[in-house]
Amino acid sequence: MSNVFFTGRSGREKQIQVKFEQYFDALWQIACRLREALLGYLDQDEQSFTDLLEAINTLESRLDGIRRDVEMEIYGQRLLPDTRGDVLSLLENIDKIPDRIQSVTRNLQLQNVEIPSQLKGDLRQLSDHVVEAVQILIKTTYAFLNKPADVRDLVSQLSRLEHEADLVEERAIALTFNAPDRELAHKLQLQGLIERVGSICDLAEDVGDRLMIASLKRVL
Amino acid sequence: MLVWLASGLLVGWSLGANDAANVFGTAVATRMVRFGTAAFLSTVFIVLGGLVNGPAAMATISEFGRVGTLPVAFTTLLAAGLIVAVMTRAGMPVSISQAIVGALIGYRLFADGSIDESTWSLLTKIALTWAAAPLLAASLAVLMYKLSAWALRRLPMPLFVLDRWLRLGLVTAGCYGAWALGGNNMANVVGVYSGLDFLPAVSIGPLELSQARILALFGGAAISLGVISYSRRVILTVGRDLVKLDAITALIAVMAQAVVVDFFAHTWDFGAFVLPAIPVSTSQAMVGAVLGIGLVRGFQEVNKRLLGHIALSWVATPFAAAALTYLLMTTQQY
Repeated sequence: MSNVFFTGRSGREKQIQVKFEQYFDALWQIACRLREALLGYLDQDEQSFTDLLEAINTLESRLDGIRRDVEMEIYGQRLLPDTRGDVLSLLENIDKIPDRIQSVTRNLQLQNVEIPSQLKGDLRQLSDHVVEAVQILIKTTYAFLNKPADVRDLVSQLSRLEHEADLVEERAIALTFNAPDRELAHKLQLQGLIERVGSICDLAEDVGDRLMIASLKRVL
Repeated sequence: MLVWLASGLLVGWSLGANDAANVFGTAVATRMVRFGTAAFLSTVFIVLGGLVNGPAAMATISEFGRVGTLPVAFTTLLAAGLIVAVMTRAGMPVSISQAIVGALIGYRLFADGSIDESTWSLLTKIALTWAAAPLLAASLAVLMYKLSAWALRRLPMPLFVLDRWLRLGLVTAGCYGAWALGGNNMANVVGVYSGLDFLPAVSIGPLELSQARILALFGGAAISLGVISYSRRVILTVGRDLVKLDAITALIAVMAQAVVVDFFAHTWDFGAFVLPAIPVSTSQAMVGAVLGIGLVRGFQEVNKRLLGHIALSWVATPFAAAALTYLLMTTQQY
């Protein structure tokens, strides 16, 4: 992500800029680690999965720390209430994504879910959608901070992606329940996993929608 | 002599307490400036505006009222001040400009028994100006809104840069609004005295202060007293209402209102038609500007009750002030 935002800022604004860049870098990394962790889990590469789980936990803590720093900076700045509210609400909502990523991997580890081979393709596809959704969300946030007129197009991309993820999710759940010899508890466990992974795209779309509403105020 | 200026002090105080909110409300409510800073800035710019531009509208009020003595000036201002206080207390919309003109109509009816042709002619211009002020503010707000929308599309501003410009804009618009308020509304406070020759010119070094400017200084002090002692709550209430518009539109509303109020602080010679400087209601200009923005946005933000309030104020305030002045004049037997 190149540095195009916050051009011509004061010292404190530059500090926020640096923090935001660190936050988005860590968010991008945690989304990539989720995909790698899921692939490791599907390939039954236990060591790789455990290492990635640890990396995800570390990234999640780092994201929490950066978010708190940005919030403190925002409170310290003399900003219009609208601007402060929009930025704080952005941080609060976007922070649900790393939380959800951590909960997906933690549940996989705790429940040790057995994944049937016919579901692996859909789960790989879902994890690709998650990474793409986070990537577009980061672009949307950059647009919100710099060029609000671009937010609408990016949010449309997010919506399209979320819809595609929904289709994959539905297909995977249907496959899960179309196995007569599978126990109901196992089916429900798989459904929970699929829905949790898919919900990351929903969260990204929610943040995008909020950003679009907030950006409308700035394009009149 | 100072006793006769007391009712001017009352009107000035009332103006400062109520109208500073229209110019600095947004900046204070958004915590862009502290109340103390806003009170200081508005005081400075109201006094400066009054000193530089105030005499023009003061001459109009003086010509309209043709008040001959200090006790009459005192009584008309007292009547106007009382009407403003009573109507404000009753929660009725009120414009100080309209109360003053109403009080002067009451005086002319008492003095002459009727309104002569030249007074009618000036009254027509005043009434047209009162109607024009909110309409002009609305039109200007629409124009400024469209221009801002175009500019923001063409030159997108990063969020924090826009925030900084908006905050600066709110303070600038506040100072300009205070300047316009002083220039236009000083006539309400001391206009009736300006036709009387009772203060000698004062020289301060190379600077010579005419009676009109000494009166403007006195009016400025009265308005400042109102700003400092009582405007805090009004500023916060009005400011919060305006902020609901969001910062960009609030800035547009304050600026449109200030331009219109400043416009009517000057005499305009259009050749066939000379428009004298006429005091207008800053609150009504502000309502006009907000309505203009509401219109661009598709009526969602237009409070139709406000329109009714303006119409009511146009009718009720001058009539009540005229009636009270007439009554006071009769009882005082001037």
